[in-house]
Amino acid sequence: MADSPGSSARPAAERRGASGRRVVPDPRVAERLAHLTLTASRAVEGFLAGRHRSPHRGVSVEFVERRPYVQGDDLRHLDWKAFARNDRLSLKRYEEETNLECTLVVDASASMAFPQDGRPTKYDYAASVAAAISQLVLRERDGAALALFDQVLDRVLPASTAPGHLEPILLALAERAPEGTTDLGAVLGRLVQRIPRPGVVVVVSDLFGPIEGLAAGLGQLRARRHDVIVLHVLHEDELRFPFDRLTRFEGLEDDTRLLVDPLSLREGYLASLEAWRAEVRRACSSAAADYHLLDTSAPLDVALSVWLGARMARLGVRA
Amino acid sequence: MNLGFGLPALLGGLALVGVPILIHLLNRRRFVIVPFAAMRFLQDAFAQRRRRLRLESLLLLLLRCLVVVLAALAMALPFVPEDSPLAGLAGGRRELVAVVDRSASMGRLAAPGLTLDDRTLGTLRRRIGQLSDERGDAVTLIFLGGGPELPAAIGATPSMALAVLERQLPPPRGVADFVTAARLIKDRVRPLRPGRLDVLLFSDLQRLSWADAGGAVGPLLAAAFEQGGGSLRVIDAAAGLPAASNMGVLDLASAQPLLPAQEPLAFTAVVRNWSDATRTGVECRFFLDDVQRAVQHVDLAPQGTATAELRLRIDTPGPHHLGVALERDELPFDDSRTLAFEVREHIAVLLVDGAPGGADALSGATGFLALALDPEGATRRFEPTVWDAGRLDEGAAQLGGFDAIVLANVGGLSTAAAEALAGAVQGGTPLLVFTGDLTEPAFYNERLPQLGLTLPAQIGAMAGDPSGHGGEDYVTLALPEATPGPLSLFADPRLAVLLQVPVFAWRPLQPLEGSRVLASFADAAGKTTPALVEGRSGRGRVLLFGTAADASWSLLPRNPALWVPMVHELLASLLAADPAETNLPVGQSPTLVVAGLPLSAQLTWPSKAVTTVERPDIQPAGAGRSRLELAGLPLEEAGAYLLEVNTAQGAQRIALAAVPDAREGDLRAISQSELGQALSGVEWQLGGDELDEEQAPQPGDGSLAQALLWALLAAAVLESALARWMGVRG
Repeated sequence: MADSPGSSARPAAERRGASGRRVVPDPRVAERLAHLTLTASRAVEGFLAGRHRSPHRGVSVEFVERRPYVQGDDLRHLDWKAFARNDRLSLKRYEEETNLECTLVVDASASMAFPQDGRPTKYDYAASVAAAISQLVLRERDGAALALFDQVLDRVLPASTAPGHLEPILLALAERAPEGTTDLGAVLGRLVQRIPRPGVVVVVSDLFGPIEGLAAGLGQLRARRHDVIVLHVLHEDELRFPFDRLTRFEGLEDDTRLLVDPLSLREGYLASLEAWRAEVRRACSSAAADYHLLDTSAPLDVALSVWLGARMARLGVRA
Repeated sequence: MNLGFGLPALLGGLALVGVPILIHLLNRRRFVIVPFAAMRFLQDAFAQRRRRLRLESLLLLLLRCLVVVLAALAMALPFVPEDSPLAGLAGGRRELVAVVDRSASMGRLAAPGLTLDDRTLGTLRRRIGQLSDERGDAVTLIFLGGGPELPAAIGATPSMALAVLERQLPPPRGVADFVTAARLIKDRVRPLRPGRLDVLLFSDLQRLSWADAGGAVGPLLAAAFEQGGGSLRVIDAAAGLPAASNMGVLDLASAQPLLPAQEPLAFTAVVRNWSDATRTGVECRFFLDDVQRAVQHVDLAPQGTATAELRLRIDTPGPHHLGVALERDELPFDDSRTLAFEVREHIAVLLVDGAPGGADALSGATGFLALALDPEGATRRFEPTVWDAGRLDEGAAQLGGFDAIVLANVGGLSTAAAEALAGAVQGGTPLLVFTGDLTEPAFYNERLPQLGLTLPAQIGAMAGDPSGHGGEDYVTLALPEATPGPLSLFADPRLAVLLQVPVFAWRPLQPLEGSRVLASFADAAGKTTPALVEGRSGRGRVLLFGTAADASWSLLPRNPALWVPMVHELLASLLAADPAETNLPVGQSPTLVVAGLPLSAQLTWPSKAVTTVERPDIQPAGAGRSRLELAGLPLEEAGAYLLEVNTAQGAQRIALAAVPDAREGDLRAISQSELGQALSGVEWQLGGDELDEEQAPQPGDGSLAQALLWALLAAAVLESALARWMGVRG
């Protein structure tokens, strides 16, 4: 039995929450992601030395470049070896590696409970994504934080670099049953207040809420110099709408009902969905957020590796 | 619009239009429930297409209902007349039933050389020519009168029907039996042809034929049309013709039952004027064996009859034909008539004497009979031969050589003699029985029937007193009120006195069922008892006289003025051939009894054509005779025929004649109201324009079923296409 969406390996350890859900760090996922890093696209501050750029220049930083000495520069950074070689005065420029603080913001609203026919839900997928990313971050000796939300921030685990921090994260994910409505904009706004330093914020959600709220929330995170990643989780049924029998669709977050012949509405539904996704992408782009669609039908390890690999390539980071 | 339905009961299928509606409603109740997160996109799509979805769903439902309606209508076989606005859509196959009156009256001339039958068949050919084998049209021909009833198969193709009509058909003859035609349509055509039947009935509407039909035709056709539908169009074959002025020969017969050679013979022809105009000086020409022998003129009152009589002497014995011919008029078939008859040379009569006498010729029981039949010096019409009763045992095989047998005071017979006698009578030899004192009632009443011969009455014990000669206690002969039969001669008041001859002794006769009393014994008080009773045993006629043929019981034999003509008349009556045996209705096949065993036969037709029959169909008829059946030789032509039968004993020549039904000469037509009464129970139209070659073809009511089926197909295709386009399933 698969332990997390998209995974084909039996986990070595698992966490089962009060809701009965099992959330496990899939070793296969971890193996695949072993060579990958969740690299901050912008310089962030960290309290531990990590593989992230720091805007601060000093010791224990990575040499980056030389430049000619200009009168008034700090002589402590003079490159004496280079002077000895070619009688030229030049300065070394360094980037200081800092620790990454990654906050996983996981949507636990009712809409994430789709589907309800026994197949893994979007929340299961999202939780697995969060677990995998948490494991990746903690492996890199970076800090991982967790925030579960619906219309409010429901559960927040502050960041920690301790390797044992993975377990409470998994437990929190497993214990939560998706319920409630979605107000992502308000949630992100409150979240901004609780993250002291710029870091990586990974939003794992189906984003079924007002676009304006999402844009506002992303904007606030951008203003606080967070590196925002939006992992848009959608179920394959939502993406392809394969229904062909007369169906009464019932809303998961409201009392709406609609009895329709799905075949007659499929084309219009997909068009509307695509238009909305385009708006979402625009909103993310405006906020300089990294947007990626996660189709729950895709194996998790493949989906994350593709995404991270593309991100690393885009950022010019060597594995 | 006059829209009709061949199977109106199937219109009940229209109720099935509720099925797609029900399915549509039920389908709305059969759905799955899916909790769904992305409702807003679904709602957006629904809001955009809501109105259009409703319209498309409604259109689909309407198309499905339309398919059901079209199917139900098509199965109900709708049809419209040719004047309907929808007639252009009626391209379906036609099922034509043509009932053609080919009775003798249809031989009426509509124009020189053109009879009503010709005109009718021509119209029918044109009508059938409008039909199409490829379209599946079918034709059923029913002939009434002339020709076979079903000259082609039921539901034949138009080509096959036309081929039948192109053949040489027998001329119109006989009478039209419309009841038989209607019954044939109901019982034989309808079971094989379930679709709508267009019945065309061609007839000259002769009153006589329709009067015979009564009111039976309408209900029979209505029953045939009840399932599958149908229409009836009556076409007056005589439409446009003036009032008929036909005259015809109603009858031609001999005045006497026996036709001896070399003696005066009399024949009478009855002529009928079927018109309402007086006809004077109508010429009647008599022909004997195709040779004109006399011309007479008669005057005829409107709708009246007249008799023309011919007296002649025929010296040559054997078969002869007498013909009478009138001047030709518009209906030729009854302008002439033929009578076939046999002229006898000598009539051999066997007198069986139960009490033979001595040398005195008048002694014995048959003396006076022999004298009456063969008086010396008289023309020897009869050749009597006297046997005693014992001779019958030896001469049983010779009985077939006698034309008649007389038993006089025969007490009883041996079994062999009785069987031989029975065989002869059964085979057609007439028998005259005189009772007497030796007559044993038990033999005649009980034994003889067991051996195959039943007399027409039971013989009782002797009554009266034979010795009462000279006394007043006697009876005399008395004739019944209506005096048919052999003693009608004495019904003339001038000759009635001859019957007042005393009869002193007699045996009471108790007539059996089916016999006829020709004379009675009456006493002084007027009380009567049957004296002369006539009957049949097989093909032979039998006369039973309740007194003796000698003078021991009565003075009859001693009164030659009475005795001689009475004996002659009795024998002539017995010997008279049934004219119906040799004068047959046109179209009937002859069945005759001939002497010996026929080996072959030849029939010469009125046209002088000869048909030979080898090994004819024969049955034994007793006394060395055979029944000859020529079932395969119907006498189709009216006129004189000669049949030659070849036997081991030699050839026999028999005159035959085929005579038409003279009633067909009455050309008075039935009125339209009377026709309506005759056809009550079924809807019908009166036609007649079809007889005009210039008229445009009238294809009759057309079926809309084909057009509806095309519409149904189009609706089904449209429904499928719309459903697919809408993305709807089921």
